[in-house]
Amino acid sequence: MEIGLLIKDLMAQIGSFKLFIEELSVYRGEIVSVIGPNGSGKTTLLKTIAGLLKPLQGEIHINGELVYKSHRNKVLINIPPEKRVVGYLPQNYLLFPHMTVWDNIAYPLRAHGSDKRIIEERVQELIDLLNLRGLEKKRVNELSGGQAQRVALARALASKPKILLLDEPFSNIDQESRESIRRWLKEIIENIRITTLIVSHDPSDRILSNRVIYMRNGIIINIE
Amino acid sequence: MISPMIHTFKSINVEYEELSRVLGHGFISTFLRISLPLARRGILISFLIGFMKAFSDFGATVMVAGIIIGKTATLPSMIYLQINSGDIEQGLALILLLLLVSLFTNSVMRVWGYR
Repeated sequence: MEIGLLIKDLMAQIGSFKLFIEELSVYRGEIVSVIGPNGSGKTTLLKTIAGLLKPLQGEIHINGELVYKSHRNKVLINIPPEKRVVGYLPQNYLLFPHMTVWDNIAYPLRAHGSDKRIIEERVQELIDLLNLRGLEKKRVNELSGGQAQRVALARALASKPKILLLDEPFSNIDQESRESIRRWLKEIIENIRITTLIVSHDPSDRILSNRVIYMRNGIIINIE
Repeated sequence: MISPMIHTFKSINVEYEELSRVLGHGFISTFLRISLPLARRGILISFLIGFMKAFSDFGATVMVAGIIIGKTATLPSMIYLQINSGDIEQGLALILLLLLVSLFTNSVMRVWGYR
């Protein structure tokens, strides 16, 4: 099987907190959950993969492409975040408040200077896939929590990313709706067959994935 | 004017800009499509503050440039000139104009500030 994400000897630091991943590999199309308490380094790991945080050392490969490499404090390769083609769903969704639902979903496509017709087709495809019909012209502050999550997911998937990073995707969803949304999300991700890393502090989110990685204090303590 | 504008840009959630980068937009595109639109209210208010300061200035203008009608005279300095020369009617008319412009600018600032 081909590798979708490979991390080697990665060390990153924020203040006094250190993240160290000796080796982590995720197969293409595989869904992996990263479970750990707050402050265990889960979001730091996602930000490092996305290119928002520069590690002190290590290697990151996405779909076989080396996107970051440094050795003895010397950065050899560092592809900027906008060139990594990563889909990212942040914990609080961060929908752009000055845009409509349609514009939020189209946002990543506009970065690549895509043709207007191609943008319209892709946005429409995602609106159908994520059941967002009728919400296209709404401002994001008019959406419910579940709708906002679907828009954020559509936006993350718009540019057909090589890897999908989901940061606590259910933290803003009430307990009653979580189970059905978990099943729905798993179905969507499995259908589009995208390498996915889901970060959560809730161990029940592990049912979404093929493999589970447990983290604590910035290191991987177990893989199931 | 500069100080509120700096404050406006500093108050933008940096995560929006980071996310824009991850979604494929470079630094300039992120500034134009995210930072600038999110700061537009603050920018407008900064301009209005600057406008009101310039519009209502008296002391600095009189000290530095004097009161030359049609060149350096501001509305408050014209009011001073008219009242001092005994033309109360014109002076009161200018006061009313200053009041209306101030009320309008303040209303715009309040509406935009609370939105």
